[in-house]
Amino acid sequence: MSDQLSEEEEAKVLFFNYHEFSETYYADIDNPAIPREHDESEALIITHFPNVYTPQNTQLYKETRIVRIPRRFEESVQYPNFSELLPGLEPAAIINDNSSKNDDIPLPNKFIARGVYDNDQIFGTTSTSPLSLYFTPEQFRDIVHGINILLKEEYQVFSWWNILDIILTILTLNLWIWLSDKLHVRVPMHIKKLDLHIKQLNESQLLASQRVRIMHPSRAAYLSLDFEIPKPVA
Amino acid sequence: MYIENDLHSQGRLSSLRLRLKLLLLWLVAIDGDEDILLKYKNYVPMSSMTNYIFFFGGRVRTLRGRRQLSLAVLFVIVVPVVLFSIFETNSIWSHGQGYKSLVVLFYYFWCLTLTMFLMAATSDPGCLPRNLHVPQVSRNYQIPQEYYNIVNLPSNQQSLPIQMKYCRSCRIWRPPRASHCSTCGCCVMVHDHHCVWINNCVGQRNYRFFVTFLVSAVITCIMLIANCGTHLHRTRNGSHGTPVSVLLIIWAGLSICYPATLLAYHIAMTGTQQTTREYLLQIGSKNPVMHRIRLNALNVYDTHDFFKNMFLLMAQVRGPKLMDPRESHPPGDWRFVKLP
Repeated sequence: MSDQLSEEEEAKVLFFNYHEFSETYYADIDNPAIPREHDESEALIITHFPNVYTPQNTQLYKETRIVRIPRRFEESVQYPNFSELLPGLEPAAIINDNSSKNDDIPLPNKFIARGVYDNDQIFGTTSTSPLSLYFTPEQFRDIVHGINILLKEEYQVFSWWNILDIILTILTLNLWIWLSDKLHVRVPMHIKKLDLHIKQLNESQLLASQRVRIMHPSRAAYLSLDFEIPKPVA
Repeated sequence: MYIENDLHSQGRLSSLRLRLKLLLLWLVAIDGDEDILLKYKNYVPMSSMTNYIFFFGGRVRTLRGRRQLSLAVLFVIVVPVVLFSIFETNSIWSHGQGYKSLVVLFYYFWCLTLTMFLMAATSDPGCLPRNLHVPQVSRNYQIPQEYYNIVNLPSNQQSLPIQMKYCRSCRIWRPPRASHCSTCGCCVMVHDHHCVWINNCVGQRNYRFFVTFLVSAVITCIMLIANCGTHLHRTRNGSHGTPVSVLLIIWAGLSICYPATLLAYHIAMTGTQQTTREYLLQIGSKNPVMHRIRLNALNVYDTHDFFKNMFLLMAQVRGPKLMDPRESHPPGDWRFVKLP
C-alpha cells in the first residue's frame, strides 16, 4: 500500500517557478571579476530578471530587478491565478544549499548571494529569490491572494456584466462597444477594483518603504505577477 | 506630447511636410517608419514587429502581404442588400403588415452580420506583448536551455497536467491555449484559428464576434430567402416578373452553406471544449472535413456539460487589450525592441 502511494507521489506533477533557470559559468561572490565553470550542484539559480517595464537607458532600470511569480492552475484553468508561495517554497523548488560546508548555517528561505552573473547581478544557488528579503511567506500569500480574488472576478464568464455586455452588443449592433467606451463604462467594476487594489498595495507601508512595486497584471498581460525590487547587493 | 516638442523645433515648411507624413501614417501604418516622430504611438512599431497594417491611428487592422479575401466576403455581404433594396423592399413592404416585420428583421440581421464581420476582421484577437520574459541581458539575450522544454504543471485535475511553452519569437511564457500565429506574427490568447476569410486571427478577444457573425449570416440568408420567396409567391407572373428575387434566393442559398457548416463545427467543438487548433491537433490533420468531432479524454478544460462548455468558450471574457495600438510608450520600450 505504502509502495503504491509513493509511486503515485512520484508520478504526480509538482509545481515550480518555470521562470527560473540554472547557470554554471559564473563568478564567485568573493571573486566577482573572474567567471569560471562550476559543478552542476553549485549552479546559480536565476531568480530575478531585467526590469522590462522601463527602458534600458533609465536609472530605474539600473537600480531595479523583477521577480516573476508564475501562473498556477491547481485552483482553476479558466482564469489567471498566480502562485501564492514565496519563490523557493514551491513543492519542486531547488533548495539544496551547499552552505553547510562554510559553517554559516543559513536562515531558512532567505536569499543568500553565491555568485555574480548577467552584468554584475548577484544570485543564489536555490530557488529562493530576493523577494524573501522583503516579505514573510504569510505577507506574500496575503498580497497575491488578494489579487487572485479580483482576477477571478474579472474573468468570470457566468457574470451579469459579461452576459449583459454580449446582449447589449448584439441588440445595439455593436454600438454598445463604442458607446460604453465613450461613457467610460467599458471598464467594469472589478477591473476598477483591481486597479485601485494594486495602487493601494504599492502605496502601502510594507511595499513603499521597501521600494518594492507590483506591476499591474494587465501590463504583464496576465502572464506573470511581476514584483519590482531594488537591485540585490552583496 | 513628443510630437509637439519636435514640431516646434522644425521649420515651417518641413513642419507642413511632417504633418502630411504624420497624417498619412495615421491613415495607414504599414511597416512603421521608425524615423517619423509618431513612433511613440504603439501602432507604428507594432506594424513593423507584426504583420498587421493599421488604419486610422490604430483603430482598424488587417494583415499585409495576404490575399485580401475579406474584401470578397464583404462583396458577398453587400451585393444582395443593394439588389434587395432596389428591387424588393418596396413591393414586399406594400404587401401588408405581416410582411413589414420580415423586411425589418432582414435588415436588422444584415446589419448585425456586417458589423460583426467588421469587428471580427478588424479588431484585436488578443495579441500578446513581446519581451515580457526576457531571461537575461548578458550573452546577447541568450535563451537558456530550460526555456526550450515543455513544462508540465499541476492542474485542478490530478491526472491532467497543464503544458506551458516559452515562445522564442515573442520571449514570453505563453499562457495555456495561446499560440503563436506565424501569419499575424504574434502570440494570440486562446487561439482558435487563423481565418483567411476575415484575414485575422480568431482568439479570445474576437471569438464572440466571429460566432455571432456566423449565426447572423445564417439567419440573414434565411430571411433573404423568406422575403424573396414571399415576393415570388405574391407576384402574379411568378418568376418571370421578378428575376432579381430568383437571383437573390440562389445567392442566399449558396452563401448560407459555408457559414452554416462552420457554425455547426464550432458548436460541436465548443461543446466538447476544444478550440479549432486543439481539435486539428487531436485528429492530426489540417483539414477537418470528413472527421468526426469527439470528446478528448485528455482535455483539462472539459466540464462534461455540453452547454456549459459551449458558453464558456463562446462567451469567454474578452478582457482588456494587452497591446493597445492607440496607447503611447516611452522611447526604448522593451515590448518594441527587436532582440537578436
